Amino acid sequence: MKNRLKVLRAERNWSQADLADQLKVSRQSVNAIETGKYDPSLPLAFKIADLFEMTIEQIFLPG
Amino acid sequence: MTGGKDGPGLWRKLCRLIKPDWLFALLLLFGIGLLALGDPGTSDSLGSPAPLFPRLLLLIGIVFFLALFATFGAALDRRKLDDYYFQLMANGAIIAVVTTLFTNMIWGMLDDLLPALSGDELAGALIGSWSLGYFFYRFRGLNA
Repeated sequence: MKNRLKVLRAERNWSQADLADQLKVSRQSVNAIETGKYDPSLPLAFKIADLFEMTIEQIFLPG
Repeated sequence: MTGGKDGPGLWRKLCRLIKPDWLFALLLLFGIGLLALGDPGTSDSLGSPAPLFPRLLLLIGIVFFLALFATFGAALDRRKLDDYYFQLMANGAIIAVVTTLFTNMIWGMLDDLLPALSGDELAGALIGSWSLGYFFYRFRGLNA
């Protein structure tokens, strides 16, 4: 699954650590999502969508 | 793995034939069978084989309660750990179980050439392969 997390984070000038703090996960988790090594659980995907004030579909793309 | 013009359809149909509930029920029976058929060993103090039935009941009881305890432990881990790390550990555990089973099987087939594996050695294989599995997924990613 592809995602726009890195772009969205960069638009807000957040580091991976900043985003991880806000999501209450490790920086490694954020890095794994951005590099496509891990698809987040549904609760985490909702948390990410809430944080960026977007829908899950706007952040995570199939394929 | 999909094979030829039948493509993913055939593979998917084959996968659907395997019902996990039935598979794990069979595995449970197989596990109990292995416990029942296992070498009862000898009691150190008496020097005679331990009685089979009480030993089997004790083994099944201990396995059941430890599995229950581990289930609660894993649920706690899941709440406290990052989902990412929990998935790494869970996937690593699958690698560990499969690796240990096959190690034991291969060792069993080479019975004449190699000395029997002790419980500690099997535990070492399990823990080591769990760690390896964790790192494989850590570096390659959970989607690899």
